[in-house]
Amino acid sequence: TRSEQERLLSQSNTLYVGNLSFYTTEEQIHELFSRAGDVKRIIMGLDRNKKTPCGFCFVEYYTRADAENCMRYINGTRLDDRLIRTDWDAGFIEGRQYGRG
Amino acid sequence: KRFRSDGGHVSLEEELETYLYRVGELNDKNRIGGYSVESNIEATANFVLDQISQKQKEIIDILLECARLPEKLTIYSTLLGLLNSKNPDFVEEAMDSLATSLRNYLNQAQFSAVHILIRFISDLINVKVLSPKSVLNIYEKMVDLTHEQSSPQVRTDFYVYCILSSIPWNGRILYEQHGPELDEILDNIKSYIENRTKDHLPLLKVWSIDDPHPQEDYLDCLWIQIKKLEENDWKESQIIRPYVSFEASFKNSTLHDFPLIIPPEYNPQTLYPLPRVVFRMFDYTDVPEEFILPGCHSIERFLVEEQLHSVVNTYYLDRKQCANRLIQLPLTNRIPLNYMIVEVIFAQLFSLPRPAHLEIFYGSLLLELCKLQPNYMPIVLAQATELLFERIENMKTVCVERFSNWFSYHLSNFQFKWSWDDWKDCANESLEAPKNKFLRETLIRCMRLSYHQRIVDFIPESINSLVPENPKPAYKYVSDEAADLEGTPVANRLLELFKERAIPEDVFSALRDIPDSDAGGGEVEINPLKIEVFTATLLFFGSKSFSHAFAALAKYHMIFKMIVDSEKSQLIVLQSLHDVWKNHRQMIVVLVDKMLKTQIVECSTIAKWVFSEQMRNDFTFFYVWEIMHSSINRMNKQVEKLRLEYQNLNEKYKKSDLASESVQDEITEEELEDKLTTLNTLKEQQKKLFFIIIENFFAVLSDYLIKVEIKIENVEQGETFKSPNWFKWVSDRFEDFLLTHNEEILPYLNEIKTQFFTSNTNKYFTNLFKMYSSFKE
Repeated sequence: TRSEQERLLSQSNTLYVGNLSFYTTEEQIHELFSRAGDVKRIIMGLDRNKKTPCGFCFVEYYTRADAENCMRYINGTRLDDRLIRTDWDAGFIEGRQYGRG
Repeated sequence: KRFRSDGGHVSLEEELETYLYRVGELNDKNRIGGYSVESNIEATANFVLDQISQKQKEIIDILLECARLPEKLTIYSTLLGLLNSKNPDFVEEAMDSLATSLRNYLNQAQFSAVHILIRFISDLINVKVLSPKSVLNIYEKMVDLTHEQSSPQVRTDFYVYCILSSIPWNGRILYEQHGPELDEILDNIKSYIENRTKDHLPLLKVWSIDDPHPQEDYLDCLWIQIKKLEENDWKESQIIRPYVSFEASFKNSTLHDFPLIIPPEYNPQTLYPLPRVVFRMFDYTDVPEEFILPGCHSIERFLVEEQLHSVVNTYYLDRKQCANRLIQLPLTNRIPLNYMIVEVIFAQLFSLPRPAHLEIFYGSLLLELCKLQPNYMPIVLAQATELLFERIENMKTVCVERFSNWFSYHLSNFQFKWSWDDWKDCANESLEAPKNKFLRETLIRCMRLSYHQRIVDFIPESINSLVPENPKPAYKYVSDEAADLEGTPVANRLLELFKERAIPEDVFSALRDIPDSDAGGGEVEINPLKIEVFTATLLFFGSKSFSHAFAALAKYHMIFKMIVDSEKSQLIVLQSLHDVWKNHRQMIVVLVDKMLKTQIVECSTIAKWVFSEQMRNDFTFFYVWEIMHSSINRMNKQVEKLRLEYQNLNEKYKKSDLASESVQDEITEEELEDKLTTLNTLKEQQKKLFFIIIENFFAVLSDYLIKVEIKIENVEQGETFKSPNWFKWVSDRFEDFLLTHNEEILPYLNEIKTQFFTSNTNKYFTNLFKMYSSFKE
């Protein structure tokens, strides 16, 4: 439900990161995002068929506070020359890393 | 304007909030009144006066919040002055609430709120709301603390700072009406300032020399600025005072006595603001001619800086608003605001021991400022960068590191465009030379934010030699020398097994081909080669990305648990990791952290490894200290977490003792003691870690110092020894370690002295610990 979704979002430590270049690597994402806090894991978004990166990822922090700092200071800045966008995510579930190519 | 664009009706409270929060902001479209700040304030006052009868409490609550907005302080004092001239009873109530709120902040040790509110009530003298005497009484109580023997300096410093930084607002009126009382306060402060200890000062300085800008203690500097203000008959030219236009309206105002505020008794638990030095990087010769940069000892310089700091500290959660407020700071004179903004941001970024906010906040704030003023800000920033680079030889290591982290981040947002060729001279310097090191470290950081080829592409040929190595794994069991290596057959077998996704048990059996030795007494000593082959091969197998490496470590974690059984074997794991990834420093940082989290290696082993022979050539690389700090922080966090758990348990225990009927979640004495034992064990480990690090710093630094002495006496010749630059990088790291973790380390100060100091300890160490001991006194 919508309120359940909102509750999850308000407690989440996970961010959806969009508008990445297809060539941006996990290492680059780690370098930038760890400047906002301790990164727990990064899940690269992959093309459903080719299994290659396709411009998005999930970044999970250990704490909510670090994820909030990421929203404040990294959202809307550049990585690999592209303005990246971060949004709250209710939490990564296996299977969601596959997007459209 | 009473209706929202979506058609919904705006409640009276919302309207009050909007008008009160935005009063004085002329670009606000919901503004009431005319086109001047004065008419806007007056219209707002009239609106509020009409609502007092029904919404008194709400209005006071909003006003108390507004009183903490430092850059609009005189706007709110003007507003209160106008309210007071019409409805003194309301203002009396508001002052009582303000006093309550001030006392709360004092008791909660919220010092920045206290500071701002003291300044606010100081300004309320100017609008005939408060009697000057009642404000002076508060100052007197604060000054009295300087005679108290038991107060540590950080405590008295804070209160003296509150007074000195408020006086520019009301000095003139105090001087006219209460000259003798003001003089007495200033005399007291004078003798306090003259007798303060400042041994800690060099530890907090960004630069090692005072040329071109002396780095003064913040109170010393402010004191000189106040003396200059006094010489100038307490007239300053920076504060915008909208109340001047309303003097006639205040003529018959009722003066209130602000309730007396007495600083709470000294409590050793309270954390007072640490001492600071004033950071300056520009003077009038650095800025365009049409602007006048106030001199370093003029009160105007303080006033602008102070307001910029306040804006940063008030709006740091929203970088866009923060940037907007900074460039819109109300000014009376043509001062080079962009330069002062940049100076203040770098002052905060370089502040020691650590910046008030995340480093990336300052980076993204500067990006925002560049976006708002694309024709000015990038130029000022480029000039600042050149200046910092030119002075890098005298800059403290940890500040060089922050500078490098910021600069790489900034460039990654501007396609790494920079006049790199201008810095070509440093390519020929030695590897430990500050400029050379800064540039190489910055390029490593740039690579971490992009990729190797990108660096190769944007770096001109003149500084080609500084481009970092290609960060590929170096796996010796597939190299040319592999055939001669004892471990190759097993390594090859392991690689096959990993590719076949073999279960850990099968991998473990394959490792049996490397025999362990008998350590005597039935004990078996694990063969170091076994650990080395396994670690290197596993990491090589997982070398494609962090995720691959993490997955490999997780899958075969139990093998580590079985063969890595001692500090010695943990060291072999770290050495093997370094062998494979010596060209990919970020990978080393991340993997060491992972191994720490998954308990393959311990903090104390990491510390020993950092000082080991293998790391000798990497010792001054920044990544090594990134590893060191993150392991210490992890240890500190664990201790803190456990301490809180114990504290909570203890409170619950006490409660369950009082109300014995609530049996369900009763804490037993045993549980409590167990927790305390765990906490104490962990604290012992933390202490052991600190002592290992201190011991090793003493050893490497003494080694250098002794060789320098011998060289001077011309006893020993021919030995190549470490350079003065090396000593600077390393001793700065030692000082940074002590300073950054001062809260954890200072309690062991006496023990450290007993253990590491002898009669012939080098002066360097005795001086350092003298500064360090006075840091929090």
